[in-house]
Amino acid sequence: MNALAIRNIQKSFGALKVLNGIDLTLEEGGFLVLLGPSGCGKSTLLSIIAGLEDASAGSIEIGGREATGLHPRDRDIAMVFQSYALYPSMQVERNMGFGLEMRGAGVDERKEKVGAAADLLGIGALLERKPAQLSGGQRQRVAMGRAIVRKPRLFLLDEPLSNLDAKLRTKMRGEIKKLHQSLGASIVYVTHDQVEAMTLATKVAVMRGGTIEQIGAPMTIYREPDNLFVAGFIGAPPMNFVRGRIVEGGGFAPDGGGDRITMPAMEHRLEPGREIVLGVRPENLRPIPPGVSPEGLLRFNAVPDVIEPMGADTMVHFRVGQSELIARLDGQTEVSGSAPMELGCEASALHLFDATTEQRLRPA
Amino acid sequence: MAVSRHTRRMNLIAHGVGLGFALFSVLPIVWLVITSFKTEAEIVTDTITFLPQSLQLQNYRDVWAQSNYPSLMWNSIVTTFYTVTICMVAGSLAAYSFSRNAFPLRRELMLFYLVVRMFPAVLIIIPLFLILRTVGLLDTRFGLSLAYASFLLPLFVWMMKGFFDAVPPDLERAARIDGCTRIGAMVRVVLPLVKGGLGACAVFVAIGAWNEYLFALMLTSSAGSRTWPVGLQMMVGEFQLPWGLLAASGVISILPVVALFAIVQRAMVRGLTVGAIKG
Ligand SMILES: Nc1ncnc2c1ncn2[C@@H]1O[C@H](COP(=O)(O)OP(=O)(O)OP(=O)(O)O)[C@@H](O)[C@H]1O
Ligand SMILES: [Mg+2]
Repeated sequence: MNALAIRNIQKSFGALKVLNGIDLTLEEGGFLVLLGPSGCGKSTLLSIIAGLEDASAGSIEIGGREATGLHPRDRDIAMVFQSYALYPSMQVERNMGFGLEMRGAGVDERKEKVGAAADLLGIGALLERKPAQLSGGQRQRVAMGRAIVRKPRLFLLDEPLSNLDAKLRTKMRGEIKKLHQSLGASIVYVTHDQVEAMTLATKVAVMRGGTIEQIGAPMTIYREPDNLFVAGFIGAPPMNFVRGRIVEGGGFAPDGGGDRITMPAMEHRLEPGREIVLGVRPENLRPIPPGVSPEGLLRFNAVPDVIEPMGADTMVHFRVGQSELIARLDGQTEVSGSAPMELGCEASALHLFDATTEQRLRPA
Repeated sequence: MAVSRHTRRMNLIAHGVGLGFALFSVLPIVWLVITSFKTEAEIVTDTITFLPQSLQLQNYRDVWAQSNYPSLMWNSIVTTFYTVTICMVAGSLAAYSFSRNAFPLRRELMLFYLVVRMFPAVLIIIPLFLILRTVGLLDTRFGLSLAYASFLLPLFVWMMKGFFDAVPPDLERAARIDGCTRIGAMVRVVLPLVKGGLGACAVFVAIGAWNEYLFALMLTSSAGSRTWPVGLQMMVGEFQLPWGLLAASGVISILPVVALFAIVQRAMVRGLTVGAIKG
């Protein structure tokens, strides 16, 4: 059974179309991350799932039950807001138990369930405090606690970590993952941080301008992005792109001049003159020792512009034609500034996109 | 650090001006209080005396026992209570809706509320008189409260909207997911956060209704609904001016206002400095 099934959800605010027909499903116990740049409609979609906002068209099923038009209370969901939205006038304990209170649970039941959730999150000592007396990380935990107390069918999290500093964010990310595994809950999680998407999700939906560009397992999206937008959004540092055209004999000529690039033999049949975008992830580039000319590699002649040793890795910036590229090399690699080097990439790690449609080219 | 002579002179002038204005507004009240403790003979004299020879409470006794002042006071209390209640219930709901719901003509309606206040009261009194007479509420305390609400409610709604605007909407969204209705979320989650502001607005409205004279004069005619400002004015007879009584009633009448201010002053300052509402 699906924890969530959304069909053709559309939403307009006046003349502004914010969502143009969203379809997606989330299996029971799954972790769906809605990923996309600011303003693409992630929060709006989440509000519609929660029932806080009505869709202009489309339908929603939660836990196999038709939920379109249902009051938020009757959807069996809980939500964590980016601002946490803790009730400032209530102590933590009442904040967490408020949903139970509204559903008519008795004092003892509330105490027990709030206590259990507080223990799970390690906030048992904070129950008497008001939200104003908590640190950012503690508020975040209380907000999580408020969501899990009721044991809902579906959790909705809207950028729950974006107000935390980098260190705490990494820690809480781990805790959310643990929580997901121990509760076996179904989660929809909004973020524009691709690291959160990759580490947490069982399924990622990459959104842009009110549509889903690609939906699938994180590694699938990483390995086979459907188009330029998705390719550039997933991965850090982002995928390198070189625009250019196929030349006679199977090579690649980057726009704006520069050396012609040797292409490995591929299953793609690309006629000469075709304009394409070549995509290479920084981590897929590796140095080729001088004098060696292995088969099956895409080869760049690179003159390093900037070299950034990061310890484990060394980032090498170089130019091909008009494009700036980054290679993420092993930290042990000897790189000296301004000495030309040859960088190669396996044919299987190469991404090809049509220059006009920006869609992935798949072997015919 | 040495304060320059120039700065000191400016300070002196600033303090002088401030003090002058304070005296200007406080002196009449001080004079009223002093007068209320004097005997008739002391008030009407050839040479002005400032302090009474002894504190006379006779004026207060007379006002309480021998005039209809207590019933005037009671009418004022009832009228003020009605007015505040109407504003708190209707005004809070209206302000909340203005703050949260994007309905057509929202902006225009808010502005229209202000326009109502731009007309001089005299212009509205006659239509109000006719309306109240038609519905049979002329010369009643409730009718008078409705008339007060006609110009106090817009003020209340404008002020309350500001307070509601400062409350993050996510709080109500969270409350609705926790199981509240929209009204429930407002009452349980939002109102506790704006109670300082609500108190401040209620006091403004209460004072407005308590001191109002013109509407009360026109819209009430019997002792059963007459409020103290009108009653006080009617004590002024054709051949006598009971200064002592007037002063004593005046003092009693402003006491509730002073008390109200003292009670809510702190909440008001806190409420008026919006932004105090943060998680
Ligand atoms: N109540 C509203 N009225 C009008 N426009 C709105 C409203 N809510 C959102 N929008 C618009 O809808 C678009 C999507 O907003 P949304 O909040 O869903 O974006 P988001 O993907 O969550 O962005 P972010 O990452 O910045 O939170 C934006 O262009 C926004 O301006
Ligand atoms: Mg958002």
